Amino acid sequence: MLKLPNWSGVMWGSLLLVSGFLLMAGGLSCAGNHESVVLLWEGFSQICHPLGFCLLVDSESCFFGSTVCLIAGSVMLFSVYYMSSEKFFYRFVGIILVFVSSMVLLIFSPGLLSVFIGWDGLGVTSFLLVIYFFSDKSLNAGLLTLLTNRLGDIFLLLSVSVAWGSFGAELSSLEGSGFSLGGVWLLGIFAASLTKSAQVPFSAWLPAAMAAPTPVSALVHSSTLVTAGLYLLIRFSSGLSNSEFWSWGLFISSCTLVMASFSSLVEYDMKKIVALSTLSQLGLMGMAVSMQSMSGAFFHLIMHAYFKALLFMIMGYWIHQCSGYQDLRISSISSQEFNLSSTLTLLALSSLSGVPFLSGFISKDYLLESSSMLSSVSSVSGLLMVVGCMLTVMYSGRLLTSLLGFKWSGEPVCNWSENSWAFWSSLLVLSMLSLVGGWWLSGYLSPLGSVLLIPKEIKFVFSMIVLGGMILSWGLCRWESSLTGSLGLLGSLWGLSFLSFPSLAKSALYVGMSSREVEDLWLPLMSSGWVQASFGEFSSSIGSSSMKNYSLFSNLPILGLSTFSGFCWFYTGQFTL
Amino acid sequence: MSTWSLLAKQTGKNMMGLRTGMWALRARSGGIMVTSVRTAADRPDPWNYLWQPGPYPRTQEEREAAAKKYGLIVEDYKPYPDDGRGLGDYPNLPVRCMDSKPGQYNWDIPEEKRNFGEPLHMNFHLMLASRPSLSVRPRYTQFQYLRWFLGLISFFTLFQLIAGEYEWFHPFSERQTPGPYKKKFYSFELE
Repeated sequence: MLKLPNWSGVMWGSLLLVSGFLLMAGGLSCAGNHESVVLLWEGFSQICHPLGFCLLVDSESCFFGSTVCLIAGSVMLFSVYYMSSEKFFYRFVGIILVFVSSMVLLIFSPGLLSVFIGWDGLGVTSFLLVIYFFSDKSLNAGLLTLLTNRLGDIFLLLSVSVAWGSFGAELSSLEGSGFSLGGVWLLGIFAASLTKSAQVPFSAWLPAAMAAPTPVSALVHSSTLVTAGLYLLIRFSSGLSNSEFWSWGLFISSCTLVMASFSSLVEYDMKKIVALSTLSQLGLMGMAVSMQSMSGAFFHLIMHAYFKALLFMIMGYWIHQCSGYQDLRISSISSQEFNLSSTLTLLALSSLSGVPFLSGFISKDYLLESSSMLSSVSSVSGLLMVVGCMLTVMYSGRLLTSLLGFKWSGEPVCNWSENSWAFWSSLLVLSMLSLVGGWWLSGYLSPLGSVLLIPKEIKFVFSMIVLGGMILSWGLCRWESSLTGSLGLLGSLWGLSFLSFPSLAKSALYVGMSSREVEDLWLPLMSSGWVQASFGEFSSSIGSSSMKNYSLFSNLPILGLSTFSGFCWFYTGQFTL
Repeated sequence: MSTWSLLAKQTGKNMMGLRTGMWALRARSGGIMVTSVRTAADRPDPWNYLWQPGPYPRTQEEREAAAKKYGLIVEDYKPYPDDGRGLGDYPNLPVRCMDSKPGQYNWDIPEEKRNFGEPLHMNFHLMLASRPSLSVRPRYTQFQYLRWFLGLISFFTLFQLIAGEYEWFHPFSERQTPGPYKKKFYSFELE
């Protein structure tokens, strides 16, 4: 019998699922009728510059909003099963709801200011969700997530400050709004999307964020938060159309794709493999966006969200089966006892690999073909996309064989049965969408009437991705041990996990350890006692490297940049069409 | 000599739940001596002076007593140098951060990864699990990690700069534009 807090999860999960279906219906209607609705509120026009708040309801925002709501509803039902013994379940539900609200605000906002409000809300709630278990490890992961996203927030705030007061800023993402500033504004959007979508060199936070509970990873780190950056680029693509940033974006995304794919080949933590898989798919989508194939990137973004969330929840189930162990080497489950969950694992991983004719295949194939339809494509970009897709098949095959007992790796430990109704009801919607969602939504998410013409040689290469990947996956499983040793740092995020922030913090620790020498020996010679006491307090607070100091150091750049941007706005004045 | 008896205590609790009140002793002769007045200001009990380190040990006996006080054997006990910093006989323990201690061991205090009676390092607050670890030896140095990362990025950059020159175009035929001295594409003759 469920406890009262868990019933609140069931209630909110059901509400979110219903909202998701309603938004999906709205998206189908908008896509079918080629219409969109802009809702604009303006106020305070008598006393100052009119403050505007806009909502844009079109097919893109409705489809993405429905994706967020459907996944959030499924995750809420899943958490009723996964976190049934959680003492503070109301807190968990509350933070999830605030996260979903921030995401919906970001999705339906055409203007930068409201986007920034949703953006900041995402950063705060994702931090609270990562540190949910209140352990040292989750605090470290949460700090890394927070600080990396904070860097992007600074750049986005800079964009907002530069654009603030300009005419049409509320509708800046719309084509024909006449809003275009260039330079700092573009850089801000671009840099913010890099950090949020975990592109190189800001990729270390995504695998580290797996310290969060599995429902959080399924909602936040697989499908919604990490795709917010790409969504921002897709939304503001009209203002970025002739920018040089796209070539940089193509380079960075291709690095992300290759780096994450190689790292997931040799990783042993189940959740980290899925996180690195998400990272590689984000690189693939980033490449499509950089090649101006917005519809392809958006279609794959939606489909990827469904099967990746499904995969994360299935991973949570397997982790429960293995008594909390996440290591592949000591988890081997007999697939004969768990028919339904094995089937769903196969479905999710096949969809991820692009097995015909699942959702992942339809979206990935469309992405590859629409990207190759451009007038001129660098052969390197095309090659890297194909290599990335083959590596996806490789690590998916490795994960499948390791999980389902085809490769004997240890004693099976199972203490949970397949009887939880909350678990199965949460997977129902996502599994159906992973199976037939691509076929159903392809007519709406890909531009109507588009005919993809590509030479037969290119089509043959695309067709052979899955088969070639399967052959290489067999080879990987056969010679895995020798590959793990030979890849070196190529297989551990290119050393990014060790380069992100620790050197600065370690320097602060050394200062703290030795601060007694400084304040006791040098300052008495140079200054008065008051300065010595102040410096002593300041150096010990630096040396403690505590969270409050991180927030201090992160807020100082924000304050500085805000002042500078306010100065720019004051002198540049109002912009007119 | 008068004897004293304890008065009934008038105690209560303030809003913070701390004990307040007055205890007094009354002599048989009728005098009252207030022995203590307890308010919220003395909670928690002052502890700093109780845990201050002792003076720097100069003799072998003092070293042995200090080692015993801190729960160490004499061979492991090494005090900080007596250079006027006021650390006294506190042991100069090796830097061993929480990250380098095993998590699966059955510690008496698992939150601090410490056993009962184990002395704390002077800079214990800098060695918590939420701080970067100074005692864990990573497999590669920071410089090696940076070299790997920059090397791979450089290789990628070079690869894209060189191979990116080879663009791939959709096959297309020659444009059929009319004009003098151009190739005749269509002659409008009936066949």
